[in-house]
Amino acid sequence: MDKSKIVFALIFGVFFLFLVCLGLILFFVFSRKKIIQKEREKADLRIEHQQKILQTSIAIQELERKRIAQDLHDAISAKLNVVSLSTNVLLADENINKKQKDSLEQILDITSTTLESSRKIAHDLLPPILAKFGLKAALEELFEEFSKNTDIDIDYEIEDLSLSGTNQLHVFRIFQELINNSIRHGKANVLEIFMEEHEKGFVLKFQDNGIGFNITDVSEKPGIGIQNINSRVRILNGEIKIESSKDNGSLFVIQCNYGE
Amino acid sequence: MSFSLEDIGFFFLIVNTVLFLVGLKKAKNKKEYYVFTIYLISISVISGIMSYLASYEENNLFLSHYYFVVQFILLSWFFYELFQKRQKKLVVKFTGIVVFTLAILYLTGEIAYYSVEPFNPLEVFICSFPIIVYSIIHLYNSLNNTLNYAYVNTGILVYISISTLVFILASVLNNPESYSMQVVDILWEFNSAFFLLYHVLIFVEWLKKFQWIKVK
Repeated sequence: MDKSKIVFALIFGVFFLFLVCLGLILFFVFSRKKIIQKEREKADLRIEHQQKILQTSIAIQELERKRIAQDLHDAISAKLNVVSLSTNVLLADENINKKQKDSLEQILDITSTTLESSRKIAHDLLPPILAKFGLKAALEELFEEFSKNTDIDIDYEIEDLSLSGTNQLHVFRIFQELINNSIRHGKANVLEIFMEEHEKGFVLKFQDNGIGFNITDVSEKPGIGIQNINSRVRILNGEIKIESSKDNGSLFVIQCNYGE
Repeated sequence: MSFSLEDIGFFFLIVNTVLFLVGLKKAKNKKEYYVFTIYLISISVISGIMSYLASYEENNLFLSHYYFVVQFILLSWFFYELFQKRQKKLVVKFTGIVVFTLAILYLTGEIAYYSVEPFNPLEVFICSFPIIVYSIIHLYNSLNNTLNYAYVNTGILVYISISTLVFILASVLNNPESYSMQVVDILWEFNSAFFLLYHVLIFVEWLKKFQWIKVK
């Protein structure tokens, strides 16, 4: 064998081994990429599934609330009205004695307070003003109610949104939840609320002066309230941004797009 | 003064050793990092003594035994730290078998301590083959996990495979015929080139690792 052939064979051998090693490494690298991608897809699917379950449960919740409110109104309030009318008729009778009159008045009293509470419960479950006068009016009423019943100041600048009834209810519930959180967990006493519609969608900002919270804690292990807000925002095709730190209050910015 | 590939490779080895020593403080409780640093120090020391002896034209070939055995034991330890529980047992078994075989080979005089032959092919093979296997197992582990020491592992797989081939061929071809010695020289150039590649990869690994530590 001549020299050049041996040299060629050796160079070839070394390069061959080099290519084999390289091929082996590339094989593992690409397999790994593929496996990781598959796992990511699986995880995405699982998250999507969870989201769907949450959204369905929210829809069912709203439906059930509506039904209970309706039932309260139809079955209890209507019957109580009959009771109160009948009691009034009886009271108009001049032949009854003082004791009977007192009892009838007591019945009338209890009936009217029960009527009032059942109206309130129904109202809390599904604010009728939302369906009748729209989101802006419903929110204004909500803010006023909070200002009246708690020592919280709410500054707001809001406008009506061109959303469907159910989506308006979502926005309403988001505000309800945010205010509740601020009062209950944040111990806030001043809220600034801003809601504006633009061409493609709407943006809402919610700021409180409460004790704030650690965002990573909340995003890792969100409570039911935040989960609820997140799901509703997702239903509205939106994004939520939270800024908060201990003792610095918190800011929620929700940006939603119409369409789809 | 011109530098050969071998000199540049040696320079990189020293640089890497220093860099890994510098990073020692930041790699708290990372056993595999410690082991790899020990490996680099040992290889630096052996290579240093080898080139020192070579510069006085002394026989330095007996040091190759230390080179192979130390490389085998420390890299095995390195992979031992990286592996999962069951695979650790495999490393222990392999190491036991290799040490036992080497002991028999040394005791029976199959491998002479001071040898005229540069390398014993069998010694090279049994010291390198397990490392290649570990390297592939480590790649396999990375399939559904993060790949730790990706660059070092690539370097180990490529360099150890090629240097094993080179060492074995060099010892087989080592005879006084002039053309055969020329071929061996070409093979050494190859070995030096891949040694350089190996240490460039270790250098890249250190850079990545250091960044990672900084970020955290």
